[in-house]
Amino acid sequence: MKKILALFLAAALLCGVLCGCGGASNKDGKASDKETSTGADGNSIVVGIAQDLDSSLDPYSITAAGTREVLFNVYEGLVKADHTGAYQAACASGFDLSDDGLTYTFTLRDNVVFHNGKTMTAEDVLYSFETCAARTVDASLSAALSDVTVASPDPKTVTVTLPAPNPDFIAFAAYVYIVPADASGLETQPIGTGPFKFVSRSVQQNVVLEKHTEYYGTPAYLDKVTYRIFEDASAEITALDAGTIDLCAHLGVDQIAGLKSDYEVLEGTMNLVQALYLNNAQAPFDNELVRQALCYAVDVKQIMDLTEDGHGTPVGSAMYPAFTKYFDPALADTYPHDTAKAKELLTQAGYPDGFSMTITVPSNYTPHVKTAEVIVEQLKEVGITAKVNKVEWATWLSDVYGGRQYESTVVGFDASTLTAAALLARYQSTAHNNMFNYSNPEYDETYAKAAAATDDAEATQLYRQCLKILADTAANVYIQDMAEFVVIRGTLTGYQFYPMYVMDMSTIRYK
Amino acid sequence: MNYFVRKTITLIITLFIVSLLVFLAFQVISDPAAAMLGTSATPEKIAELREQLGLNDPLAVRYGRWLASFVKGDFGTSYAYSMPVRGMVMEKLPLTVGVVLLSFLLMVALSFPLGILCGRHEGGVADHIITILGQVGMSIPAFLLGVGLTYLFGVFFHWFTPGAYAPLRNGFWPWLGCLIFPALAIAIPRTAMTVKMLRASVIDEMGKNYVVTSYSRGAGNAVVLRRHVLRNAIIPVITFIASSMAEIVANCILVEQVFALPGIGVLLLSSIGNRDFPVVQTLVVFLAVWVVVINFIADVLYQLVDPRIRLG
Amino acid sequence: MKKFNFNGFLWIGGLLSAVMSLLIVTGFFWRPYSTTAMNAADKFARPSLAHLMGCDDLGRDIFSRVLEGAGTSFLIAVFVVLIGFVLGTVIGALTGYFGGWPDEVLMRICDALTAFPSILLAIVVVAVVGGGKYTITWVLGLLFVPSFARIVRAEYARAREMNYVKSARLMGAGPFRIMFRHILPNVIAVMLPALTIGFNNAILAEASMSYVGIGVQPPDASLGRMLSEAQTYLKAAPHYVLFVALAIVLLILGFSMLSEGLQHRNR
Repeated sequence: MKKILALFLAAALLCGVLCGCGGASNKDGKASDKETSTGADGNSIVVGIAQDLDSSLDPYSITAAGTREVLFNVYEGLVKADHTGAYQAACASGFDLSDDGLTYTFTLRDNVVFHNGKTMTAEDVLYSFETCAARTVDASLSAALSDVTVASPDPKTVTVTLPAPNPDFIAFAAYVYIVPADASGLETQPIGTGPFKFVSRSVQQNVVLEKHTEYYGTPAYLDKVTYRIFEDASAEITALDAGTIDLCAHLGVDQIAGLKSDYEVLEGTMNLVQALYLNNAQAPFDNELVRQALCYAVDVKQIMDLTEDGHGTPVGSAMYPAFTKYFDPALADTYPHDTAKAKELLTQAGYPDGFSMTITVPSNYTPHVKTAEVIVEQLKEVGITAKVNKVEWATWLSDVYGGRQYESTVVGFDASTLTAAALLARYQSTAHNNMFNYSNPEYDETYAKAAAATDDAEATQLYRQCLKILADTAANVYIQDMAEFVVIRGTLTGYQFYPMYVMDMSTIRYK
Repeated sequence: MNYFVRKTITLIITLFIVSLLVFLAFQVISDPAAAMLGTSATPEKIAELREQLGLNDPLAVRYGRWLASFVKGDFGTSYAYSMPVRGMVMEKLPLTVGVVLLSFLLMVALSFPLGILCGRHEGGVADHIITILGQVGMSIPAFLLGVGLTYLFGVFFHWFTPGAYAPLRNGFWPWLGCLIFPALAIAIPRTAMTVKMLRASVIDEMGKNYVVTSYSRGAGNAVVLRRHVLRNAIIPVITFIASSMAEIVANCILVEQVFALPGIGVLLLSSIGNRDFPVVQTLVVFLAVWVVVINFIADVLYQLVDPRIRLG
Repeated sequence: MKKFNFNGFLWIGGLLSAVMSLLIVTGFFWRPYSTTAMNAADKFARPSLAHLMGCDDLGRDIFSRVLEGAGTSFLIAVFVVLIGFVLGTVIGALTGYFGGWPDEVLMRICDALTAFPSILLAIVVVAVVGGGKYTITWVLGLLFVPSFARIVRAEYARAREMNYVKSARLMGAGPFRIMFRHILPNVIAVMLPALTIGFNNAILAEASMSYVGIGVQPPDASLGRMLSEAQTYLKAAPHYVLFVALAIVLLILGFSMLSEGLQHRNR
C-alpha cells in the first residue's frame, strides 16, 4: 500500500473530501468557548482536515498532499517557497550559483535550532541531502538529486554540484527537508526546523503542533495548532456549523452557503488540474478524433456553474494558473463547447451512434464525483452513454493509477514540487506514472529538450510548447483549476494562499 | 455448579470456533505479503516475504501462532499505519466502552419505570401515549436519531459541541458529556423495544392466579408488584436485555460515525475502506468475543434469577 | 386496549405501508423527472408544485431521486425477506417435521447466529467480501434465515402431532406433500408478523450500512446513501435531508405498525 502511495500522486487527493464544510457558526459563541478552552492559553486554533496523515511522517516518505500540507509547518529545506511561489532563504541564509550553472553554494544560517534543541550543522545538511537522494519516494525529486555531489568546504557552507545545469534545482532543493543527522523515528516523531514542532498524533483523530520558540525567523503567532480529522464530510460540516473548528480549507461553494458572520470566507484556487483523464491506450480513446470530440462535448462552463456556482478557472491543458510562467489561458479555448462539432468528429472517427464508456471516480472526492455526474449528462447529448463507477480511494490507486485498468476517470493532479516537471514529466511515453498511456514522440522530444535546457527562458518556451501539444492532441479532457474556499473564524487573520497545496500556520494570528 | 462448568466449557469452545472462523476468513481474502509490497510486488519478492513471514507454514501452525500472540495481546501491525494494532485499538476502546455502557444504563433506567407503568395501568392514557411514542421510537434508526440530536442539541441549542471530543485523561465529566448524546441516540430505540417487552411481560404476570389471589388476600399494590410480579416479569426480559448489549455495540459503530467520535466504530469502518485487514480482523474478534461473552453472562444470570430453568 | 391496537396499528400501519409501497412501485415505472436531469437554475430549489420536494445540489428533482432511492431499498428488503423466508421455511420445515440430530445441530447453529446482531454480522461479512447491493441482499437474506427457521420449526414440530396431519398421514400422503400442502398454509399466517418485522429490519440494516458507506455502492441510489449526501447540504437545502429522513422513517413506521397490528390479530 505504501508503495502505491509512493507513486506520487499526491494530487487529486484530498480536494474532494476536504470540501466538506460549510454552514453557519454558533449564534452566541457558547459552543466555541469549550473548544478554545481546551487549547492551553487561548492562543491556539483547531483546524479541520478531511483525512488522516500518511502512516509515516518521515520527511522523505510524504506522499499525500494532505500530509505535505500539515508538515510544511514542521519541516524546512535550505530554501522555502513563500506565498508567491518564490524561494526564500530558510535554513540557508543565501546561495550563489556558479557561472556555469552547475554549482550552488549555500551559506548556512547560524541560529537554526531543531525541534529537539540541537543546533543545525553542515553535517546535518549533508546527511539530509544524502538520505533524501537515497530514500525519497518522489520520483522527480529523486531524479533531480541523482548524480549530485554535496560537500561542505567549511562548517558554514554547503556546495551542491549538478551534473548538468537545472533551472528548477532550487525548487527541488526546497523539498530536501533538513533533519538532524542522528535522527531516528522521524516517521512517528518528526523533527525539523520549521516554525511549529510536532507534538502528537492520534490515529484518525488529531495531530497537534506547537510553536517552536527557538525558530530563527519570524516566530509563529499561535502557540498551538490542533488538526482535527473528519473523515466524514457531513461531520466536518456539522462541526463547522457548531463552531468547533476555527479554520477549514478546501471547501466547495455549497459548503460555505449560509455561513454566519463570525466566519470569514476567503476564495482561492485548489492549484490542481481537474480533467476527465482518458486511457489513451484503450479504444476508442486511442483515436485522437474521439478525444477531441469529447473535448467539444464537455461544457466546462456548465460544469463550473453546476458544481461551483461558476467559480473556478478553465485550464485547457495540464497546467494550472498559479504557474504564471507556463500557464496559457488561450489553451482553454482550444475546444469551445460545440455538440455539432463533437458529433461530426465522432462520425469521422467511425462512431456515428456514439459508444459506451465508464468513468471511474474515487468515491470520497465529492467535487470530482459531481463533475463526473455532470459529464455523463453532457455526453448523452452527443450519443455517448457514460456510466459513473465510484470506487474506494485504495481501489482507485491500485486499479486506475497503478494498474491503468480503466477507461476514463475524473481527478485532479497537483504539483508535488513547484516545477513544470511535476506536472508534465508524467506525459512522457516511458514515464512510470503515465497513467494516461499518452504516447507521442513529438511530446517526448519537446519535453526532453525542455528538461535539458539550461536557459530558463528557453526551457519555459519549450514547456509551453509541451502544453500546446497536449491541448492539440486532446490528451485528456482538461476541465479546470477548481475554486477553493477557506473558512476562518472572524477573530483570526493572516491566512495566505500558496501556489501549491499547503496551509501556512505561521502567519495566522488573533486580531 | 455442574451447570456453570458446562457453560464455561461451551463458552471456551465457542470462542475457539469463532477465532478459527475469523482467522480463516481473513486468510482467504488477504495476502499480507502482497498487501505490504503494494504495486512494487513481484512474484519473487512476494515469495521471499511470504517465507520471511512464515506464510508457507501449514495452516494449523499459522493459526496457533496467531492465536498465541493474540492472547498475549499482540494483534499484529496495521498495513495502513505501520504501527501496532494493539495501540490503535486500545486508544479507541475507552470511548466505545463508555458509549455502550452509558447507552445500556440509559436504556435500563428509562425502560423499567416506563414498562412497569404501562403494564400496571394497561389501557390508561399514559399507556396509550407511551405505546404510540414507542412505536415511533422503534421506527427511527439510531443513526438517524443521531443526526437529529446533533442538529437539535448541537447546532441549534448548543448543548454540546458536535465534532469535539475530550479524551478521558482530560477529566471524567467533560468526557462523559461528549458521550451522552450518542448514547441517547442508541438508547432511545432500544428503550422503546424494552418497554414493549416489559409491558407485555408485566401484563402477562398480573393476570396470573397468584397475583389475583394476593390481591384478594389484601396485599397492597406495591407489595404485590415488588414481591411477585416484577421478579417474574423480568425473567423473560433478561435475554432481551442481553441481546440489547450486542445490538448497542452494533449501533455504536454507526452512531460514532454520525457524531465524529474517534472510537472503535470509526476505526473499523475506515479500516474496511483502507483494506487494513489486521485492524479489521482484531476488531472483528473483539466484537465476536463481546457477543459470545454477553450471551454467556445472560445465560448465567437467567439461571441465577430462576433456578427452575435448566438450559442444556 | 386490544380493540385500540387492532384498529390503530393494523389499519394505520397497513394504510401507511400501502401508500408507501404504491408510491415506490409507481416509481419503478414512472417518475416526474429523470433522476439525472440537471439544471443550474434549479440548484437547491425549495419545494414547489413543479418540484414537490425541491431540487438537490445539481438541480435534480429530489422527489424523483427519493423514489429511486426508496425503490432500491425496497427491492433489497423484499429480496432479503424472500431469501430468508424461502430458505428459513425449507430448513425449519425439514428440521421441525423430521427432528433428530440434524434438527439439534441446525438449531444450535441458528441459536449461535441469532446471538449476533444482523448489522454487526453484515458489517463483518462486508469487511471480508466487499459491499454492493447484491452482496448486501444475499448477506442480509442469509442472516435472516435462522430467525425464520426457528419460527417455522416450532410450528412444524407442533403441527406434526396435530390431528389433521395425522389423518393426512393415515390417508397415505407423503411427508413432503404433508409438509408443503397441508402444514405450510397454516404456518404462513403465523409468519406474517415475522415477515413484516424482517422487512423492517432489512430496510433499517440497508439504510444504516449505506449511510456509513459500506452498503449499496454508487451508481445505485439508496435512502441511506442519499441521507449522508443530503446531510452535507443541510444549510443550503434543509428540505433535502428532511424528505430523505422522512421517507426512511415513514417506510419503517408503516411496516412496524403493520406487524404490530398483525401480531395482535393473531393473539
